[in-house]
Amino acid sequence: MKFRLQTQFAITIIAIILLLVLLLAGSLQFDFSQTIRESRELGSQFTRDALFEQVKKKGFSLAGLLSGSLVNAMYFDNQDLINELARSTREQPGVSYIYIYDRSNRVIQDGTATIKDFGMLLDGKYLQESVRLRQPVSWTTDKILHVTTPIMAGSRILGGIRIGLNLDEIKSDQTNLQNVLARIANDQDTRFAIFTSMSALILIILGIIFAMIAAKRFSRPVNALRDLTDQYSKGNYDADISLNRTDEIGDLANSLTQMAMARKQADAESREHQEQLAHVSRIVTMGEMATGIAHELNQPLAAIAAYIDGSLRRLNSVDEPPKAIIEALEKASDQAIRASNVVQSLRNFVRRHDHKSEKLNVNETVHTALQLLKPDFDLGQVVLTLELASPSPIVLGDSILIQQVVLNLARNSVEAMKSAGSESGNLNIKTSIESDSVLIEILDDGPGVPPELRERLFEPYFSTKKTGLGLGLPICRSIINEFQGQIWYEDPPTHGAAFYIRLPRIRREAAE
Amino acid sequence: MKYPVLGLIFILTVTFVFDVSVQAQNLPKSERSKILVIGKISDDPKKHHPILEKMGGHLAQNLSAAGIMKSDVLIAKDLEQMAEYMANGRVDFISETAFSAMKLKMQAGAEVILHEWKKGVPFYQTVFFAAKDSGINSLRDLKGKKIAFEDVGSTSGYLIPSTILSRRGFRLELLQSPRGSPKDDAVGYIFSRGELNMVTWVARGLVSAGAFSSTDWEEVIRTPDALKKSLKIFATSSPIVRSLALVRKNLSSDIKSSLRSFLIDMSNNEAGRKMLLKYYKVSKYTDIGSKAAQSLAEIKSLMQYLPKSAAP
Repeated sequence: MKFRLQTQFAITIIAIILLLVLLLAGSLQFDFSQTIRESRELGSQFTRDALFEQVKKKGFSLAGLLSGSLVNAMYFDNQDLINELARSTREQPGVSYIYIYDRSNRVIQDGTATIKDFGMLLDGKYLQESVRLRQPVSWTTDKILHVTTPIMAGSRILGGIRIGLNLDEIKSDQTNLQNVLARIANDQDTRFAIFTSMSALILIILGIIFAMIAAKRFSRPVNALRDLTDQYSKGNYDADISLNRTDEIGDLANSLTQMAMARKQADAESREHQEQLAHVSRIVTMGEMATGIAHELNQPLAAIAAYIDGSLRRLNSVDEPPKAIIEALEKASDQAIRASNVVQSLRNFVRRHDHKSEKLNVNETVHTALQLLKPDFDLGQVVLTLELASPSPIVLGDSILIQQVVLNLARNSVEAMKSAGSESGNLNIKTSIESDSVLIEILDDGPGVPPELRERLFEPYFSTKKTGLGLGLPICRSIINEFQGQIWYEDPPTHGAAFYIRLPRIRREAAE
Repeated sequence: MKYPVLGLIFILTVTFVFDVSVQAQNLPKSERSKILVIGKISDDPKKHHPILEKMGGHLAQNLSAAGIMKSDVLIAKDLEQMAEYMANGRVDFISETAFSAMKLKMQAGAEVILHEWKKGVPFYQTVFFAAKDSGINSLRDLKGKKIAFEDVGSTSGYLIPSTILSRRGFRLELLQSPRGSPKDDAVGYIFSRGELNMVTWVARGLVSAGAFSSTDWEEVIRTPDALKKSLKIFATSSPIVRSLALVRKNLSSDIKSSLRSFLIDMSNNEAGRKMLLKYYKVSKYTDIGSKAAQSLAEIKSLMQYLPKSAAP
């Protein structure tokens, strides 16, 4: 079974709360029951003690009262009064017996009509203790609490009183009280159990509500993150969530956003690279096609040139050759040858071949490369100025590749100047010898390269042209580097752009 | 017994305390003379025994020079018994009011040794009082009327007024209740058993007159103002000595002399005054002066008029 995070969280909290509440309630109930039980036992003990104390107090009170009342009667040996007091005491509830005895501890009155215990000798131990303590003394035997106290006039002991109080009543009262206590304890226990259960139930309900709120609150940012990642997975990297949190969740959201931004940029770059790759692929295809076209065009162009030559020869063989037609045909022949050269140059340029390192004439290489731009020069859009070293310097390299470099740089200049919107631009190409190297300069008066882009000119895929691949200059650098040369850009003194190529020079005598 | 020696000592102690009074009577003469027995006439030994024990103890403690080593108490339930005790040498010293003192002197040969002041009062009088509107203005007006006395043992509340009336020639007739009526030629009397009772009876008209001591008349708790304002004193007795100290006959002269001196001296020190105060609020003891002697002579002359039923 699959549960959502919110549900899992809620269930966990509810389980914890439930466990805690049950533990608490159980503990409380147990503790309360224990307390009630102890209270009951204490209450029972207390009751027993209290009842005993009550009986004891009663005995002390009776004995004290009677001893006080008997002083004068004992002093003057008033037996009638002594007997009357003894009998009235004997009739008190709970009084088991009463003895009034003389100084020799012999009973003189027992509260009965016949004074049946008259003359009985009592144990004087407790009386002596009572005299010593100056207060009644009590002791228990079986079911009787005995209390004795002296009868004294001042410090003179006239005799004593001993009263027996029945303890059976205590047991009966105690049993009754214990039953009452037990009933109360059971009632309390039940009430507390109900109270505990209700409290636990309320706590559980509150706990569930709390758990649901907490789970929702906890899972909200997680859900938001999940939604965010869903959006990202669908490619919507602009999706955003406003968590406004500074904790780990906030950090995670920020990390995800940064990751999405990076991914977005990478995707854009990838797309761009793919486009560039497609462009390159198209160019390659076009190059291959151009090779085929060049091959296909070369034949008809050669045929055209041959036919034109044949036509010129025939026209020149007549007496009055038509000059205008001959001139036109000569121009057509020149154009055919030129077209053939262009096609041948194009074919040579794009033809796939192995790099070779050979001695080549720099000035010728420059001329050959510029053939492909001739239409631009002819239309007067760009004024080409060549300042070539003489004699032409010799370098070691692949003429096709060096042509490619020169052509690339010259075309960039032409296109830059065209894009500037001026009616015409100036392209100046120089070759010069510098002791052991040859310097080729390609200078124009176009818009030039902005300063912030100069550092990136030779980076792959960097281009300021909308349709540029950004591969021209990096390829140029790799070609020049292959031949231990250098290529760089410098700001020209006035305006425009200035590219420089330096290649190791082959001295002419060495070349020969 | 766990502690036999202690138990034995305790038993002996208790036994000694138990039997001290008995021993005082049964001891050889030489031993008996070392014990000063102080007596009292009362039916309430419970109340008086502790008071007498304290006084006896104090006296014994201070009369060692006279050979007294300890004291004892003996309470008699009436004057006759006390007279017997004193005659038999069982009581050595006693404080009594004038009439009782004179009777003990006559019956037991007791000797009055000092005049005893109580609450600062050396003498008092019997006052005869009646309701203001009763029409009774002198003793003569009591004929055929009822008078309330205090109780049979009271000097100022019975013995003095009854003997005064007898000496005047009135025949006294004891009534059983305040509502009873005497014969025309007699004065009916009834015992009120208390001063407040007496005052109330007179104020309410249950009896025509009452008689008690002048000190009772002055005490608000005995004669409340609310009742007193409707009453008047219509006759008074001559001054009566408040109380007297007596010793038995044949008491050693050393002891008697020492006792007398010590009693007189008691009011001169704080401990003595405190003890006297506890001993029935006695202020001091003085010699029998002429006024006291005259009072005693008056009492003696009145004694012949005592009714036979009256036994002070």
